[in-house]
Amino acid sequence: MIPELGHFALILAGVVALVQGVLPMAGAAQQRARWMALARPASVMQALLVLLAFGCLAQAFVGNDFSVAYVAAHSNTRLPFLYRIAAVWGAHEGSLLLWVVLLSGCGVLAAFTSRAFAAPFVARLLAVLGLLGAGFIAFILFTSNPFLRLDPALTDGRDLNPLLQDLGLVLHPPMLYLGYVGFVVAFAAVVAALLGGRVEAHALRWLRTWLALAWMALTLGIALGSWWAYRELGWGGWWFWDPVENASLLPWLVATALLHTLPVALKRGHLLAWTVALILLAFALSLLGIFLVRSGSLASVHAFAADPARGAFILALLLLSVVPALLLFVRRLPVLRAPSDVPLCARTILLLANNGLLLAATATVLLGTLYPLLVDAWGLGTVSVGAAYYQAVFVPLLVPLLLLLGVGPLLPWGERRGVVVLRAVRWPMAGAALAVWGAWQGLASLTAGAGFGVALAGWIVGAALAAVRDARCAPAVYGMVLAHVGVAVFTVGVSLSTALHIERTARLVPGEALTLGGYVLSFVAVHADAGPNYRAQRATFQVTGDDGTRATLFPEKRRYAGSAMPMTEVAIDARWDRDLYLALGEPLDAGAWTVRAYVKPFIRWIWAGCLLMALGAGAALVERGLLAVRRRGAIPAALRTAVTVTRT
Amino acid sequence: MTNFTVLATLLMIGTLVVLMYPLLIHDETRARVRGDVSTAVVLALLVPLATAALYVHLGRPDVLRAAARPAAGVDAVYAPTLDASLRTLRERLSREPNDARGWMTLARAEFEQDAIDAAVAAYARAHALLGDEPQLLAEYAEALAVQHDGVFTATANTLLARALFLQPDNRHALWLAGLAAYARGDTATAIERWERALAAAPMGGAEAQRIEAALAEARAASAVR
Amino acid sequence: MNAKRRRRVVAVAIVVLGVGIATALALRAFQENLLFFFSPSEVLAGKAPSGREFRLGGLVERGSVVREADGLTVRFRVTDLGQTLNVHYRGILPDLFREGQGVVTRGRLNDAGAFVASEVLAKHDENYMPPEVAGSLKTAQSNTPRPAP
Repeated sequence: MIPELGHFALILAGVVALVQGVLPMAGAAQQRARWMALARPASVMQALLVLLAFGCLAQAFVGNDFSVAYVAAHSNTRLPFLYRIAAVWGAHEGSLLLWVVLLSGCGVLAAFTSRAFAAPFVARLLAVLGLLGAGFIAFILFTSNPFLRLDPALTDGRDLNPLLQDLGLVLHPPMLYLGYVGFVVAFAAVVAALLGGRVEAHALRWLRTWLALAWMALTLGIALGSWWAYRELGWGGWWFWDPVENASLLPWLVATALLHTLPVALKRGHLLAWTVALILLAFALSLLGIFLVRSGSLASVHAFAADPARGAFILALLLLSVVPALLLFVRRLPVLRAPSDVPLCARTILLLANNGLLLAATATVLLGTLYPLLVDAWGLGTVSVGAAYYQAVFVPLLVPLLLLLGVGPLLPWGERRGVVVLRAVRWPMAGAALAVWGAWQGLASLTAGAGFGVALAGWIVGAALAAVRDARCAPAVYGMVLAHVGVAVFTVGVSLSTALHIERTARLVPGEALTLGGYVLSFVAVHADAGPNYRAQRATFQVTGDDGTRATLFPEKRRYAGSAMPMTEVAIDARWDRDLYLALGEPLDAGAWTVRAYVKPFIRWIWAGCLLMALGAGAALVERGLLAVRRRGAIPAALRTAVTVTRT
Repeated sequence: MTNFTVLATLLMIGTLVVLMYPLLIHDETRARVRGDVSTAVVLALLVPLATAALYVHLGRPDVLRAAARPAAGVDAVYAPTLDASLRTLRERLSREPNDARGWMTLARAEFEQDAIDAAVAAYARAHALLGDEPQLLAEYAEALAVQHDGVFTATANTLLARALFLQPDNRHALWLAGLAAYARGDTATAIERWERALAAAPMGGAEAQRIEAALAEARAASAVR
Repeated sequence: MNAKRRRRVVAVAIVVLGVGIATALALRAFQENLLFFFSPSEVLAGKAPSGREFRLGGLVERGSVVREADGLTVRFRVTDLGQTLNVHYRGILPDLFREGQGVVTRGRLNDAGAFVASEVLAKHDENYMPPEVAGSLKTAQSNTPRPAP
């Protein structure tokens, strides 16, 4: 009965979302207060119903209800509890339900943090969210329904893809989706503002909170995905330029650009149109990402079943939301014009350069991701784009971006003399020199590439510290500084782990040892082992190192019961400055195994850097965002006139 | 009224109350705007109607009724009807002889009923219609072997080989291929096939136990030799 | 032309120049790293480039996997059920690499006409066949007479 109740609740939620989308929108157009007032309660009701549906599906997983086809396909009685919960969003149908839960949940959050705004704006904002919610619920119900039944029921289910049975992937989709949903709310707010004919300063402030939240979640989501790929795919890479990964990187790049222009739009009144365009772009790319991942047009862990109907539905949703929004944007362009008497300052120009580089990066990723799909769609053959392309294009775009990052924060707003730029550079210079000297002293070997990466990191940290000094404890700066230091840490991780990593593949029998860059890995034995839902061959390796490392590693080869799928479970000896990574290959004759081992210097810094970036966004959020909603009177009148442009 | 109807109705009423509240009672702006009765009425009609229509279209209320049946005694309920349903199936197939899935269902049922000749004939029809499908090939081979008192004929062996070429981890085919090899004294091949079958079988089930028992026997036999 | 307009022109020129250079670099890298996909039949028909990397896909032929004494070098044949091609690979094979199953490899042809793979990808789960492979199998099968049952 519970799955049927969930099904019913989801249908009702779709109907409520439609009401939320239509009546308040019409009410705002016709000045009907009662219709507009419907928006808030409807959004709460929609969220509660969707949550109920989600809870019912989760209960079906926990209670092993294999009369639900989705449960039978992705779970079984031996699946551990945590993964049964994760399996709710472990595949296509349930992950879309999670998406709708987050979308409606953020709708409620938007409904209650937007109390300061005029009723028509709130009504339109929630109406756009309602329409999108209704679209996605319809998508679930008609193409990807997780509540469909099997009659007669199975006595046991299949399995959750063993690759997905990992903590990293339990958290990855919710985080990623939270990021996307944040962009959806921003999109809804922008459309609501454009419909009303004015973009107000406090609405922009409010948006900044949402974008910081979305960006933080997306950063964490991407980092979690990367951390998962590193541990589960068994060959030590942390980013594969897989189209699905790219799909999440695209909105991230645009959102990063956005985070940098919003302050300009707020403080200087410039770039308002540009900012709005970026928000539309971030939204479009988020939906494109869902289209790419969910349409089955890509072959990957994420693409479950190729179903053209699903792709067509999302594509229609994408076009139906983006095209009208773009037309509206073009019509309202005159309203978004900046006051022409305020000239651009040096900092604004650098921020524009930042945006240019980030968008160029977006364009290159988009090209590499879409081109193979288009070629395939037009029947011109099958091609793919190698990772080398992204490396060749990305690095030349990122280096100037990181250089800018060391200068921008040091320039005072409104400064227009080039000399100041030259003077500001002394801090990052010192930082870079110090970092290279430190790396030279601390590391056994240093290549040119690694040295350059470290220098860039030092450059950024130097600038960040100087910015703290300049700002004299203005709390707004701390979030930015934290995020920039995160970028520096990330840069160190990427450049050192790429330049200095050591890799060996060997055939070993128990008793033999493998030497790898100052470490000796002795193969002790292999034993049979079993987990709750798998059998394993578990190897024991003793590790000794010149640096005093003493460790025992247990890499495994698993075979999962439900799907009979083999899996490599790597063993990692982690330390702050390096990972020792060991993967078991295949069993050979005479008890021998193929073994792959890596030393990955500073690889943890990659994810630590992402964490710092997310924390930076979080700090900014706590400092201004959540409080700013209540401080609505705090915007100086002069600023308000600079940004607020009434309908002409 | 079942629990489901009660809960769904409560859910609907709750939703309508929430939607009616801003339309009729609460006045956020305090501008004394009159309640919008006509919209409320339209919503109160449309929302339940649309939801119910969609649910009837998409949902499976019949599964609720099925679930309400006592789970015990299922075999007792179905047993007397098996013959009847077999008869209907045969009649249907005589009318629609191109229904491959129907032939396969019939073949399985005949096999279960120990009507081996009928089963082999039905498998042959299914094979002619469906072509080489691994599971079908394996079951067909099994039926042929049973028909010949457990001897794997050349035809049966060919069918198994083709099944395993198409799907090397088909448990059923692996199990049978192991049996065939064991019967002709090729213990090594038998062990290899069964090990693969075991690896593919769900762990701890009856099937796995059966394979493990066979493996133990085969290993003992190869140790003796 | 006043100072303001001149500045604007310079700014636009710089942006255009930057975008131009970036585009040129990107497109060159793009072209160099485009990987085409071929089936064994297409490779033997001479459609695959000899000097650059491409991807080869098909089924791993049953009984064709041979491992050399070092335990790391593997030779196998990839078939599209029409033609087969020898593949050499040194390294650890993915978990789901199995005889009779779909595989996609990246590498280039050597002088002897064998395919030297630098990367081997197997399907991700039991029911999944790389779409490219499924497509090329269908073409190859329709070109070869099926053995009579």
